[in-house]
Amino acid sequence: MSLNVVDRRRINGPQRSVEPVYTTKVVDPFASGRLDERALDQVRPIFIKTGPLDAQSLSAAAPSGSAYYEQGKIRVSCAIYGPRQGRKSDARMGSFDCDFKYAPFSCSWKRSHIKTSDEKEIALMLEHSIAPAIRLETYPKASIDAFVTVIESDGKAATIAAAINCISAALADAGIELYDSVAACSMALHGEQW
Amino acid sequence: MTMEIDEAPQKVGIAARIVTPGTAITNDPAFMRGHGTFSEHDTIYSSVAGVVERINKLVSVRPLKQRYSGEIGDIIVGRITEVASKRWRVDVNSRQDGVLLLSSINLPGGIQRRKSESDELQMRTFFAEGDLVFAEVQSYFADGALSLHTRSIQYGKLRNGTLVTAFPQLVPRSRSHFHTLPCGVDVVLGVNGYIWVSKHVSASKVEANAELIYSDKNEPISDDEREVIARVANCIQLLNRLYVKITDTSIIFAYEASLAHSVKDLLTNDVAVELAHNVMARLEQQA
Repeated sequence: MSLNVVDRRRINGPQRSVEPVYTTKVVDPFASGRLDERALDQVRPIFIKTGPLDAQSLSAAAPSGSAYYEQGKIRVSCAIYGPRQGRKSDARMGSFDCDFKYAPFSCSWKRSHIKTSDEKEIALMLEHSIAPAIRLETYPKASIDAFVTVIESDGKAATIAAAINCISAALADAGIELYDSVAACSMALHGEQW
Repeated sequence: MTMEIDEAPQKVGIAARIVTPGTAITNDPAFMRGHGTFSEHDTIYSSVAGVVERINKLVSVRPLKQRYSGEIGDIIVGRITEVASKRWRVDVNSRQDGVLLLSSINLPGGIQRRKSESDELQMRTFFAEGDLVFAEVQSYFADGALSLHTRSIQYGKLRNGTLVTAFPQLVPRSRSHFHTLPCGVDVVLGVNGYIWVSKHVSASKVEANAELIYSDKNEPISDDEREVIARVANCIQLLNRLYVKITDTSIIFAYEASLAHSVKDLLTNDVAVELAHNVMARLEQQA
């Protein structure tokens, strides 16, 4: 994704922007717990709310299910559309499609409005992790679409895990048949310790 | 932090409890599994988030939200999405689009008229994409899609009004789904959650104009009539927001209570809550 592409429909900010650095002292991330003062084996506190995108007015375009997920600084929102008429009219199983997008203001540098290959790769990852949990054989010819938007991100792996949890909550809110809800978390190996 | 493993499923005593997908409900072989469940190795698990219901030997889980799934005889309102060969595809707020066959509609000029080739070639003169149709579910196709028909003078194309979308579970099945309210407005309660509110047109007028059943032209509607239609539509909306069953009685109660407010105030939260409680109180009183 070239940094030189200029979007003519919008007032463009600077081509390259980085978060200002506030501290001058150098911190060793693993010296005394993590940067945000969590213990090494502690997860960020979780908040989930289902149904934030339910129809508020006359609109027939509301999603079947939705969820808002917060984990520490990570904020993710997911909308589920479906089960609705699928594109293939001869499919014996339903199809599950995932769409993943970072909001331009979600990371510590400005992201482009256009979907990058990074976001497409993460969308595939989400599809592969969630689709096995859905009882797609009970939805022939139907398609279930999940749209994930990252409102604030805090580490790529942790954000992907948060997205998976958010989609699970939204699927349960939509009343879609599942074998189980999918839970995810990210881990790192530091020396000998996970 | 230790994780607690799910408790072993109880043999009996399936009290009404809230479950999430993957929760084991029972491993007693006497029970049959119903909607919202699946079984693996003799254990019945829940597949949705909802409440466990047990009727005799049948265990099912009722989710908090459910897509409309049609039953034969349901009266519904749908929107034409596609014109295909000798059929129309209709959005009925369900998992799949419903199908309205050319042989299932009333051809203008009398029911006895035979379907001709020219009818197949000018299907858009009957229903075009975007039209709203009032139909009944006749049967299912092999893949579960609903087959609709409009073979009665009361069914057909909808005009002179506005569509309100509600939760399908709030529209109970009853003997009649077409109501004329005392305020002079017709309401069509589709069991799939699509509700049509329109200007009242007398039945005799409809029958007199048998050739105009597929006309796209609205009657002239005065400003006062439009205001009444908008008021009824907003009343249905607030009943939907506060999860009150939508019947002709509850709409009439809501309409009467709403006269104290202006039409657009009915969309605000405070007024909606007040009116909904009013309606619920009157409905309880009546019961």
